[in-house]
Amino acid sequence: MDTGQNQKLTDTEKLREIPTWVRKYAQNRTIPFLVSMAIFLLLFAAISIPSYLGGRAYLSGNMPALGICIFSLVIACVALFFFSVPKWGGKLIEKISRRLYGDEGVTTLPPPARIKKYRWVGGVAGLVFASCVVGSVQLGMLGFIPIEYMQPVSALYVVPFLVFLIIWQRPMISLLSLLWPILYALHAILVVMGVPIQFSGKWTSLNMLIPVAGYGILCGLLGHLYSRYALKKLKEAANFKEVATDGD
Amino acid sequence: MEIDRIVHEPARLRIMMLLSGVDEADFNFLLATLSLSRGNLSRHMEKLELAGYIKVNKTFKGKIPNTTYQLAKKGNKALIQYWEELDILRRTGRNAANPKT
Repeated sequence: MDTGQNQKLTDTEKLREIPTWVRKYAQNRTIPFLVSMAIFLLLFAAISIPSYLGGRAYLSGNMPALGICIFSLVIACVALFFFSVPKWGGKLIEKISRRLYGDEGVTTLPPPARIKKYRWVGGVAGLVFASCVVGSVQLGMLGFIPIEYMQPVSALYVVPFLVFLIIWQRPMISLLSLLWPILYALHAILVVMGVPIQFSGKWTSLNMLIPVAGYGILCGLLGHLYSRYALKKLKEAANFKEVATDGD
Repeated sequence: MEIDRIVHEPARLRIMMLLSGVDEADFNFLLATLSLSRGNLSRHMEKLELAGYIKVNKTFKGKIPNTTYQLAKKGNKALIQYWEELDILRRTGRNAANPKT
């Protein structure tokens, strides 16, 4: 064995860390998730602001302003439809993410076999989740659920759904993302306990937006930071002074 | 014992170790992580492909060509065998240096 030229046996232990760090890095590439959350927030603003202003314009009889609001709403709804179709929205998110990752390149983890084998499970879970969302919103609008308890009630289905989604997609997704449902559950518990963390008046919508998007973005940012650390460790493990220059 | 020289080369060993941890990685990722030159990485990838150790998938992302690599079953087997042989050599070397232990 020609160890002198190619490989020092004592250096090889570091190399065994490469698969671990590359996996951790790939699991925590959260930029696509952060981009989709940013788009979600933009769409939320694009729908809620014209709706609110349009209502006020209608009440004050300002028809040109109402027209502008309706036009903005139509554009926002078209954008929402565009992003809801994975073929279009997914492509755009991928394009933005690639640009943000720059020269870093792309690496992916294999989707677990169960996702392909039991595709219907994901569909059923999504359907149950959507039904719960529609049901709780309806109950809230009918006055059966007080507005201040909407978040704790939603936690009853959001938390299990998020936990399921993360476990279902393991090992593609890092366990760090479990922080999202944990924070969501903690928020709900604090609200039920009467801790004053609720917004009121025109900021009421933040009571749902912060746990849904805020905690999601927080977890996405933490994941991104961890991916930076994993990449650093990966480069340390893979770093070496090259001896051969001709590929031999 | 004959160590697999395709795997034993430092750059190729790192490439294979990296690919063993993920489903696939593109050329830019390997380039940025392994700090190799484009030409050198290309040559290593060609050698690994010729040996049947990796699978190459060439596509286009819009108008930009995109090449991704996967560790083939043969490559995975070769990598496992390489580490086993290296461990045996290590133990043999250690025993030879310290016959009492």
